[in-house]
Amino acid sequence: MMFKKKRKFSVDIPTASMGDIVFLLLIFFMVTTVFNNEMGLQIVLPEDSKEEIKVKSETIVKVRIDKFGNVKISYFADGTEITEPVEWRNVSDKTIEILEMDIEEKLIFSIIPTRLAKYEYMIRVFDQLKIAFEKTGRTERISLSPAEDDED
Amino acid sequence: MKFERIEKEKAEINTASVSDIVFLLLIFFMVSTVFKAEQGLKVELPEAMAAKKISIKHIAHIWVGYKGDNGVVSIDDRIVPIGKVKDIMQLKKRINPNVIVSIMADKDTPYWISNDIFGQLIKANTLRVSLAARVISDIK
Repeated sequence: MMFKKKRKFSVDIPTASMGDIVFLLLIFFMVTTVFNNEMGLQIVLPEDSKEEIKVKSETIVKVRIDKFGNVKISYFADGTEITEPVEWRNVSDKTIEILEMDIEEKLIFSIIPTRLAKYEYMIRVFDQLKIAFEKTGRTERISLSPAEDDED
Repeated sequence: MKFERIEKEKAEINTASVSDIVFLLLIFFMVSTVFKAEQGLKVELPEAMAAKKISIKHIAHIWVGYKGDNGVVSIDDRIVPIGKVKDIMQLKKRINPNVIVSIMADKDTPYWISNDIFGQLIKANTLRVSLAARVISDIK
């Protein structure tokens, strides 16, 4: 009786294609990667407290925005309230002007849009205020007030 | 006199480390990849100059659009009524107390919709908010 000779196989895993696989994976992840670039204007909302905090009306600068995007700034100077219409592009300059008059650094800027004002109008005024605070190096004191009704 | 024999060297670039480099790159991209989790609404964000980068770790998105006179709010790819925002955000706050709410609102939505959402967020005690905007370097 004759037995077949068993052939000896070498037991190597071929790794020649490893590089190809890794490159493929690499290209897949490179293509699908989306780096985080979320940008936004940050704000901290007021707490929902039953107690009302009383603030002197002289320390509040009201920035009203109507449905057409017109901006009016009301502030106190020498005890009298002044209301001025301001082009939105000039809000930051006007804010810097008001901030420079406020030596005690007590002023709070309150944005009051009307109900039908576009979101964009609010954002661009908010942006202008932020820029002004950044330029003057003051701590940010900006609040978003509840919407007012539109005048017809 | 004896001369030393000049050995002939093969001019090859060593490619043994290529796979190491590629693996390193691969791991970098695998770790840094964030797959898009939600589709959201089609919105055109407003522009702002003072917008800052926010860390993606704690973010919860609220997409705000409008249809006619009504507001459309989408959270986690589900359209929700504005009155429900409070409950959803309370849940998110419980899961992550440091949650930052990023409001992705269309620039043309009337302000009252975002005003109502702010009211809901205050009730849910999620007070850290980011108003998403496209960054521009100068006013047009």
